[in-house]
Amino acid sequence: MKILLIEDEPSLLVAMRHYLEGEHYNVSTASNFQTASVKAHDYQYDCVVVDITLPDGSGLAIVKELKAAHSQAGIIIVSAKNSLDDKLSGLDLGADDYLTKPFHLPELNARIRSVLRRRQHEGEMQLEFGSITIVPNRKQVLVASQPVELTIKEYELLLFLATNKNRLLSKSVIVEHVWGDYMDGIDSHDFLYTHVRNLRRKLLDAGSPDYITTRYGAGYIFSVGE
Amino acid sequence: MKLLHKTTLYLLLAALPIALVGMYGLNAFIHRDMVHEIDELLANELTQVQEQLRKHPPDLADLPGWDPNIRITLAPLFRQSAPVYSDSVVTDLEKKESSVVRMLRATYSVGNRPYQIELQQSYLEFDEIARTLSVGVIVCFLVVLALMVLADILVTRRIWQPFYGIIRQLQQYRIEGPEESIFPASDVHEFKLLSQSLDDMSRRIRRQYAQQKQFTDNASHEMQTPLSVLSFELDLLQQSEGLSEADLNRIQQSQQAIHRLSALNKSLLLLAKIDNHQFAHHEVINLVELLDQLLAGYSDYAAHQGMTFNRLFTQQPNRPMNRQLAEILFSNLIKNAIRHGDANSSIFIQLSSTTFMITNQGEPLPFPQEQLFGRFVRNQALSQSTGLGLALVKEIAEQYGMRVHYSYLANHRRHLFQVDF
Repeated sequence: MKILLIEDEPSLLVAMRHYLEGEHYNVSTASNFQTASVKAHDYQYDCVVVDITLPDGSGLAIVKELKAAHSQAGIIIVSAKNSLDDKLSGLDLGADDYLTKPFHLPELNARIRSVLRRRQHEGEMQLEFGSITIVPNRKQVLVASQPVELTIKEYELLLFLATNKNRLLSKSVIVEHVWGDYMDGIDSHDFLYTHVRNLRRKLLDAGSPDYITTRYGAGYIFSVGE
Repeated sequence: MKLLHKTTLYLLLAALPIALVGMYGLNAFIHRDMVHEIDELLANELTQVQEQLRKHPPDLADLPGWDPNIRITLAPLFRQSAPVYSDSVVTDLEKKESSVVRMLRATYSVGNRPYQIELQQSYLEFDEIARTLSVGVIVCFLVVLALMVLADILVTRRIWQPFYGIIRQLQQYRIEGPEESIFPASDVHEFKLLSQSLDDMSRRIRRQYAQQKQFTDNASHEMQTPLSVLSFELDLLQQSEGLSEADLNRIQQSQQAIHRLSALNKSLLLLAKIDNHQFAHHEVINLVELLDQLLAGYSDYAAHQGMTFNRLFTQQPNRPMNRQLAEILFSNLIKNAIRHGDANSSIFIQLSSTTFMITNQGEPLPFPQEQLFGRFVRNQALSQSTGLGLALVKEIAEQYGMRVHYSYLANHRRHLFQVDF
């Protein structure tokens, strides 16, 4: 999977690259409009992550260029502005998603995965994690070919954990992803515990091994264990 | 009171004593002049009478008596004296009227026979003339004054036209408006000066305002970048091998501090944007739909605290609002109720066509009620609170002409927030 990261802040670029390479993506970077434009034009990417504010141009112009060239790449816009106008104009131009700074790297990974899944063939795609199979199109989870009844939140929770497998995910990152903006400024993320416990029990009941490990006080890790 | 009316009033008030004093003054002045003239007249007449006496000395028995104004009598001997002027009252026997007259008494000797001559001249006509004259002058004065005032009113109306134009422009002045306002020009120097000064001031203020806005915008955006760097580094650090539980805890704490700082930053930016009326995009919001959506979003969180929502939606009001602001307004109130509510209590939410009410059970406020909607007023017990949530609620409500009330129902131990549309 080839990813192009366009971001003018070097330390952000390095951190994003580091994390995404850990997720086995093939990552290219550009730190200004000029380079970004050339790279986006010359190579094929599966996903382009573009910051709106660049020193020598607007990230939105890159989106326009990609769309004009009928690029198949998924596009995620990153902005320091939490502005609805930017978001709407970005999505209108054909971007697939919009992220407001600051965000977490596991969140970026989840968004990229989601965009890539949507970009791939219409056919029934299945994600295998040990004995667990996730069918994103139908929002369904199978263990040993048997469907497991999960609530929407439990499904999203599992998908997020599985997408960032082998990564320690803190509770706030998980809550932010699954419950979104609603939980902004909520003091306690303890309520997540109930949902993780239910998810675990349902998966165990269906016959799956326990892939979710609790790191006390820190968060959860999903690992299949090779 | 208009400036025009005020000046007119003062002018008229000043004119009254001037007219009164002027009338008396003028009367006295004319009177004095008249006396002088009459005295001269009498002196002339005296000379003529003396001439006549000298040329035609009358018989003793036949002193001329045909003119009531001239009386010639024989004077006692050797009492020659200088002519004396005096005022005296005479009574007209026929008309039974008394009138004031000017009198000249003199003695004159023809041969050795002394005569006493008494000449008199009535003031009557002269006084009348003096009165008529002074009243006439004052009436003229008042008429001229009235005409002047009238002319002044008409002229002033025209002259002050640009001034009212400037005031109208000032009333409509909006610092955030799209175009520069140009104050009306005038051929009156002072107004031209005023207009130009206002133009200059407006331009200066607009520039500063734009800079300020730009600064707030940039400051908050610039702040998000280092926050992102911090957050990313911690994300990566968290993935390192061999971190102790304490290390992970510290990372969590730092992440939370970053999160809070970022939330603060966003809220401040939002407040500034609301203050600057930078939210357009109004749409008709169905409040029942919006509340259902928000309550569903918070249901997991509330359920964890053992809280239940009791909703009573009697009507389906629609309000024209910006969707983002409407969401913030109601979600902040709901979040507030969950965070500060007692565990295992219920939250009542009521919606009618004119009000939204939400109550939660809990201890009374730890600070004075007046501070509740202030910025950075918060319950210190809650570490993630920015202290801006309710300030935003108030700001948004005011933006849409809604009123937010708070009260504590002590006997039910319930906090009540009410929004009147």
